Amino acid sequence: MSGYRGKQRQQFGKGAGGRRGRENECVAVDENNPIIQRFREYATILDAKHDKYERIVKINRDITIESKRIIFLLHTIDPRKNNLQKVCEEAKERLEAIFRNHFIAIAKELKDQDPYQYARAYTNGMQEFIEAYTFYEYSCGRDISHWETIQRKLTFKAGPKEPGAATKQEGDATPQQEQIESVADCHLENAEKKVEELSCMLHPQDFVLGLGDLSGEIMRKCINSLGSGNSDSCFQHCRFMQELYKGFLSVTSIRSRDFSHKMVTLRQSLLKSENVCYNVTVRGGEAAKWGTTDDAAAGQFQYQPSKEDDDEGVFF
Amino acid sequence: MQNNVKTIFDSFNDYLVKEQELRTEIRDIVRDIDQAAKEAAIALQVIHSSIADVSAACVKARTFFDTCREGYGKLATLIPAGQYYRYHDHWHYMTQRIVFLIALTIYLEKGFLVARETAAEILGLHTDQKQGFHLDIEDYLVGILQLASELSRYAVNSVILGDYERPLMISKFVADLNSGFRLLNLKNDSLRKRFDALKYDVKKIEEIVYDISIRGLRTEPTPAVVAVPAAEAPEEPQS
Repeated sequence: MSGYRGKQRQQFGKGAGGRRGRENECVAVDENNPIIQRFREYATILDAKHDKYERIVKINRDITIESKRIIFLLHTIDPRKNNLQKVCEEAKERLEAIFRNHFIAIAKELKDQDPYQYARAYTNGMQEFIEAYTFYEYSCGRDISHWETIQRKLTFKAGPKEPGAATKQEGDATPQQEQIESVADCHLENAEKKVEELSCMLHPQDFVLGLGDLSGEIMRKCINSLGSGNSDSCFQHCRFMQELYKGFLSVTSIRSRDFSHKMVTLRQSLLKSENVCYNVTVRGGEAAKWGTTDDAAAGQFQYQPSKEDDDEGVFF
Repeated sequence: MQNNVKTIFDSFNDYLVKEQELRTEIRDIVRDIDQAAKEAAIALQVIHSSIADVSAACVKARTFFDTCREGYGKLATLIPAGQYYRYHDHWHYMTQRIVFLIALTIYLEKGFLVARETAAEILGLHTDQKQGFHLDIEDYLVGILQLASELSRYAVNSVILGDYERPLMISKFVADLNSGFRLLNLKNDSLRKRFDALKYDVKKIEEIVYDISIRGLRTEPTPAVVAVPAAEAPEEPQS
């Protein structure tokens, strides 16, 4: 039955085609070609758009991966190993490399485009990157940058003048390092684009969501430092997170589901680290035993050799 | 450090407040345009009940498009350069519907598919996003797909009103649209979903043509039917 019907329909499709043929003569409007031609045009536009989107998504993934690695790297900061300086240097370099390699590629894709059109293609990478970047700043004891500062770093300008300005801006942190970086930037920019300004838009909302992710990392840091017996910094981390939570609470009128989701996670992280601080306060150094690994316990043993309680912790 | 977090969130709140204000303004304008679009849609509904009033309905609909154009003009001045897609969600449904209405009007008047450029012109928009406020291509295409489903309804009603020729024309037109859409590489987004519905419209119209043909309600003789399909057939795979 269905086969029969199919055949019938096909025939009448041809019937319509027959009419089409005749109408070509009297009504110029009804030719097959104009619509097809139009749609070929539309197809190219759509394809170009999709391709661009895909390319940005790809870069976005690379940024996410590298940012995660940097975060992992930053977690290896351990006061007992005295590696703060070294790790920070390396993290900084890798973060700068992301600016240089990945974001400039996105900026190139976004040239002459409405950045909001492709914002969704790189929002994840951007959030992850913000998390890594602010975590780097936090870990190295610096202030968290305002998103406008980062946006300025994401704006790549041609000509020697603008990179110079960027150097001044970043200069206050570690001048020597910066100089080298921006010289490299400068070369890159001069080589690749002559006059235009390229910019990779940082959506403030992405920035704030990245800050939300940061809380998770700080919670980990807080618990890690408990493990390594560095209980003073637990309170510091905890205070920072409280500040962050306060900031999130102050945000009203946001139309984002992600945001409220992040809020819940942030609150959980905050409660965890507050609980850590509570335990440290109530139980003192004894609390530090929990969650220790052999390595951490050994470190702790070195740190506070006088405490007998801690000695016991090693044999647990 | 604590102060810094506070500054960040303070400026974030400022940012949100500013955005909110702009969105409120946009919403007001969009509501006005939407109202005009609705009236145009109502005016065009007459095509389903009376053949004689079609051209009058088109004229009436066109006056509402003028109102829409004014609204879009206001929107264009409101939206900062390069932020079209930031607020796009406020007007994209509406734009799709207006494109559909324009496409329907032009189809009723002239019998061909409105080009994106023409639709944009009627609304006083650009087609190239570099020139500012423009008609997004996906909005245009979704509007065209809406046209197909309206035409399937129109085909039914023209039969009811005793016009047996129109469904054949519509069938041809929608078949062309269908092959046009087959040229596009669609991603799995809303446009794709909308396109998947097109085959039902095509099927429905074909069935109407079938019903008309099998009962011999068509006024024209059929011999040509056999000759031309051979020429038509190679065209199909191309699409």
